[in-house]
Amino acid sequence: MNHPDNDALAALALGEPASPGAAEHARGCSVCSDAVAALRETLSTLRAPVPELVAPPASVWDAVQRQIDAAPVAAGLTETPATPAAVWGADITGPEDPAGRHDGPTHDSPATDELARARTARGGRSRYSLAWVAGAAAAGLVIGGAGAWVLDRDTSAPTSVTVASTSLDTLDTQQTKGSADVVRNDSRLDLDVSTEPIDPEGGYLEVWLINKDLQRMVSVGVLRPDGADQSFPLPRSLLDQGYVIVDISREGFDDAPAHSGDSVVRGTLQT
Amino acid sequence: MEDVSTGEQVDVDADADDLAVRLREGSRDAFAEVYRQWSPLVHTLALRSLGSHHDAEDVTQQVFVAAWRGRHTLRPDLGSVAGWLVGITRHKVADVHAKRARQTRDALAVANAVPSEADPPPQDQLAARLVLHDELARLGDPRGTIVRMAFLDELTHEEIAHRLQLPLGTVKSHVRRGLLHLRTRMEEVNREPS
Repeated sequence: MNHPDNDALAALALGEPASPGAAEHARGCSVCSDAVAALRETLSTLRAPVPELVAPPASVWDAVQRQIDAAPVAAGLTETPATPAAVWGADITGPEDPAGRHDGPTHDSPATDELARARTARGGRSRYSLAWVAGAAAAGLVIGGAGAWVLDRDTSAPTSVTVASTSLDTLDTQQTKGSADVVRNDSRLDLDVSTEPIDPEGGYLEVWLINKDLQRMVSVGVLRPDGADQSFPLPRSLLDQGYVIVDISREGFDDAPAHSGDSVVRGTLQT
Repeated sequence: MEDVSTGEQVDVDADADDLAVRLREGSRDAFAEVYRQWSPLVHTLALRSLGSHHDAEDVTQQVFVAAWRGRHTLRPDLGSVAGWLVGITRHKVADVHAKRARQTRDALAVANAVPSEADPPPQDQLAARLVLHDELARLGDPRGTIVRMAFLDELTHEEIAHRLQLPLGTVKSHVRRGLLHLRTRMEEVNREPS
């Protein structure tokens, strides 16, 4: 017979009398017995005791708003979510705290709050950069010492050797969108970047290396959005100094040389 | 929204969908409303899993900031706002557990002991329970009342029909469809990658 309809399966799960045919089918059909089992699980979950909900204190909402407003507007307009500062302050205390943790000083009144917000939004670029870099650590990055770079090994070999690599993942859901490899060609180092096509959304894409001290970053170059493999020459000294976090950002044509804060993907190079 | 499991319009989805759509479009009002409606769920989940008010508040803050920044990942056609927020909450809670585990491991490494309590406690069932109860509270009437009477008060269909002066067949139909609807919500929570 055909599969019983959902209504009949729900009746079975509820222990109601169903047509003999439906019950018999469900016993012998894995699809239907799974469906009934899922419905029964829903039922038992519903009947399990549920804890009393505890609302967070009002300071949390204030902190959320401050943190959102501290970020550049661009961060809120991206197709791919960028959450560089989402976990701001989890284990790093920066010199400034534009994101405003909820246990930080609170604003006196809504009026000053608005003012502070507007001020941050207007002139907050440099302040933001600090928050953003610090946020990178808290974003779950493993800033392990990238260890010994195998750069000197076989320097005579003519072939290219991958000496370090990382997947490039979105910051919030950790979806892998590409990879980056440090490749040694003879005595030269290249950063090879390969990603899915990324929509620059009217701007352009920029590749950065962030230092593992999370205080410094350098721009490596502009990435074409088509997703084809692209290569950027890399001074070895950068790696030696700990610039091991690869980051791709969306940048607007805004004459602002700093990182926009709109990170698309990121990854930490591992040897 | 057409509810795939029941093939009919469910009131609660219309409101929640509207909110989700407005949030996706960048409405701060919608975001504030989402926070108002679901921050207790997020906070409770974090608190139960982490056992620390400070960490739970931190996670709640992180979840909603991430939700705002990642609002384009909200797909009203694929799931509920609550399920989406629970998915983000899981990531953030897992981060805290991982950090604690690292700290425990580092501390224990010195003592040459094995970390046994560093594993995050199971929270999946709690997440599902919270989401289901949230959805149950949002179901429009008469289905909401009928389903709550059947599942929470454990009244028989006959008792419900009598109390609400509704035909028995109507009550049964609402209970079944309510259950099917809630199952889709539970599946959303369970399929969230963690």
